[in-house]
Amino acid sequence: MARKKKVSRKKKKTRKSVAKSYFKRWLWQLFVIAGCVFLSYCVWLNYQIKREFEGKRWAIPARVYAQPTELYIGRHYKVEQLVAKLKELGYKPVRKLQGPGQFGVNKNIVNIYQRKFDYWDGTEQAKKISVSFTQQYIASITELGSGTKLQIVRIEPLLIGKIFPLHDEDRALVHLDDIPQSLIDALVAIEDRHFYTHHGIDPKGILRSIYVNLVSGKITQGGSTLTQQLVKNLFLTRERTYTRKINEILMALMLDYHYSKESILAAYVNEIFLGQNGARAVHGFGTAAEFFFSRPLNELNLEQVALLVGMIKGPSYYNPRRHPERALKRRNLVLGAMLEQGYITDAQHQLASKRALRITDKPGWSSAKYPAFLDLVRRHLRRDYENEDLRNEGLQVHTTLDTEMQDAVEQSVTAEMRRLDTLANFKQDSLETAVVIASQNDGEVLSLLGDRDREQNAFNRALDARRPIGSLIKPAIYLSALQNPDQYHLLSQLDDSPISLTQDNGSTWSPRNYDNRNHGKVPLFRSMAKSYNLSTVRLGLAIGLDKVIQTLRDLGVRGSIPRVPALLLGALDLSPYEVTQMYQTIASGGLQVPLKTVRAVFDSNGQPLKKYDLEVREYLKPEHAFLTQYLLASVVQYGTAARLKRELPSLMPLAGKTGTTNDLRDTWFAGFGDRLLGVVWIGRDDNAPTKLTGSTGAMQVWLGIMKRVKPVPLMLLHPETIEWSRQPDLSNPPESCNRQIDYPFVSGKAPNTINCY
Amino acid sequence: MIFFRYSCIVIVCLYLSACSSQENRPETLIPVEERYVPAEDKTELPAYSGDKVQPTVIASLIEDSNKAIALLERALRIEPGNALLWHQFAQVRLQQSNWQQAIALARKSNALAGNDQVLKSRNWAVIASAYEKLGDPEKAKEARRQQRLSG
Repeated sequence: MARKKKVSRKKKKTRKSVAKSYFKRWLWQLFVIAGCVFLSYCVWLNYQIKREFEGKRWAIPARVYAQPTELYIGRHYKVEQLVAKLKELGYKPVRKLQGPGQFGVNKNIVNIYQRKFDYWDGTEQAKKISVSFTQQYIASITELGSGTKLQIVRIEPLLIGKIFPLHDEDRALVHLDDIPQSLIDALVAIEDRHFYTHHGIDPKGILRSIYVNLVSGKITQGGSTLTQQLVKNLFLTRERTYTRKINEILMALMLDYHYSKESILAAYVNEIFLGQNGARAVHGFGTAAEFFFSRPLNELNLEQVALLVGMIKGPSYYNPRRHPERALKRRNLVLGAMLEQGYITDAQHQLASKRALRITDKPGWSSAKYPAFLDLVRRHLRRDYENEDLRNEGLQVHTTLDTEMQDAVEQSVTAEMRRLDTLANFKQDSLETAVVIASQNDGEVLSLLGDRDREQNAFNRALDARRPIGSLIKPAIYLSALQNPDQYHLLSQLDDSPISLTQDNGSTWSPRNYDNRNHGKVPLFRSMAKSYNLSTVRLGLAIGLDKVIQTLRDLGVRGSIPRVPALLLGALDLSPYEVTQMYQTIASGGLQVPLKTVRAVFDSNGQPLKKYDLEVREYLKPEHAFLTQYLLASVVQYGTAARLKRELPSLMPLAGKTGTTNDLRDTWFAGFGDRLLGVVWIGRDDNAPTKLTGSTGAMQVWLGIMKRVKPVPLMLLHPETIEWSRQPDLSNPPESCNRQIDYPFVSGKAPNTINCY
Repeated sequence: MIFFRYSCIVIVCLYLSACSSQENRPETLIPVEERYVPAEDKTELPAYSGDKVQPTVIASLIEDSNKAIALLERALRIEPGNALLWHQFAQVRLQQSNWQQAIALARKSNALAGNDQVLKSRNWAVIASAYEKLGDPEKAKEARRQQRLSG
């Protein structure tokens, strides 16, 4: 019995120990499995980190630049203009030039420490120059220090906009070498003083934060190292849980193990979130420098760097625009930490902490400022680039925008449109406008406006408002005639008498002159100058609609052209941009240059990618282009645009054409000198009458622009294939016939002396 | 050792002086049969087939002409009425075998050249060469005629 008991006890014991060892084994297995799971998790994390970090290519928006400012000896330029330009570029006025992005003015001399910038034909190095002016001209340019006399220098272009990633982030990538030492010092001083010695995490900091969190009962303190903060920004969500914290610690350890402190710092500097620009997140110090100070990161002062570093803790709480006092306090705290840890001297600290915040009231760029032009740039780039590349690859786009020209256009539009509202007795803002200014020889679009309110571009009228062009079509008809010099020349007699035509739909079309009068026999040039409709329709019908359509094609008109007699009076819908291309061919003497908005594209490192060369096409014979220019100059001389001659006497000759459509719905003006070509349209979006004509409407805006920019007069250089012949002046017969003047003709085609008519 | 080093220098000096003094001596003609031709020189050279130009050499030059274009465009923005610049632009395009552009640019230069007959003649030369390359002998001939008239 006793034995039995013993056995059963033994059995019990064995069972217990079996259960115990079973439990042990089970525990062990569980531990191994958990270990394996944890290990695989770590391996997976490690893989994730390496892949993400090494393959990390931030989505960097394309940066779009205006054209640079060329300063050369003999350029008509004023000190005030240069100073305004430098200020616009974020240059700081100083007494002594110490670094790029600074300038000083002393009467007629402007000293500039210009910034480095890459162009297609080479790099303009950062250097100190002195520009002296005499009577509104640049007299000399000297490199300070070496004393070298320079002929020409380029001041870098203004950043006019960015094409953003889909998730609306703004980032200006900063390379490791461009990170100022003060930024690294400030970061280490305030955010992570053991950065260079720890292995990704700072155990003391973690213990401290755990203690604080336990005491407070909620997670309030981070105690994160820079590495942890980077991990948080790069890989994790913003929620505050213990699981996330563990992940963060693991990932920080791995990141520190795999990568150098410098790489981690560089990534941190470009990644950290520093505020919100409207709907757009501001990431990285490079962008923040532009956004808050309008300057590149490497030009910031100690206190400016300290301010940005201070903001990391709470970008909206310490937003210096909204809460300047808080921001100032925080900045000085950073400066104090830097002093305490020996990164700055007492004197530096004293000086920096006394300075005001001096936040720029305008960010370094504004897409809102040139929306119509940027729209055109985007359309241009879309031909060659995927949307993705534009948004993410950090492309640098050099464009043709002339910001001074754009300012002149906007000023003129603001002033004239207000006047025209009153004149036509419209309620404010019912008239709309669109303007294109181009350089006629190389086709560069210098300025574009698609709305009378410069910041609006819901409807880019310069590109998308296709309206009947009215009399702007006339040069094409007269050019068609002059291309047949055996039959037509400037003094050819045209018949300005009533005409009625039966149209395809059976209706009768009876065009009339604007003044409702018939002018009988008129010379060709006067018919054009005075924009007579009847003689033009008769001329167009005589040479044939097909010929006119062909000429329009030669002038660069691409869309459909209706083959109806009303075409001869401008029943052709074109946008101001298309009209500009059409007139460019005439203005440049027959050589067609496709309008261009992008000069070149560079990658994010400033390496050249693509250049858009000046391409010319021969479309008109020089003599025919010249005669058409002559006709357009006579429009200004004694035709419908004669007011220009009165208002701009010193800039004559200029050439141009007014255009008005039925019931005064659209008013146009296209005009040019020797370099600039401008097209203005004024109308209403509801297509109601404007009560204005080409000369009382659109031409006024054009005049306002030209008064501001003072174009070079038309040279009217005649080609060898033109001869001049003395004839009676037929501009205002019979009185003018007493005078004899020279008229141009295609060589060998000049008529004998013509009788007055 | 020192002797050896000096003797080497002396031999080199003597050799050099011999070479230089030989230059002044009238060349004594050696009959062909007596000339010593080293064995390795007897190997036949492959027929000359032009320089073996690496693609990178040409690429670097084209890159330069692209730079030239960028500079000319820059200059033309400042002075669009400068006929010489348009002519140089035409020349670069001609070098790049961009015949149509060369013709158009040379014509533009001509339109601005005024009384500069030399420049006009050069422009006609560009136009003539381009038409020749384009296989248009009629127009090339006419351009040559104009070239002669201008020059």
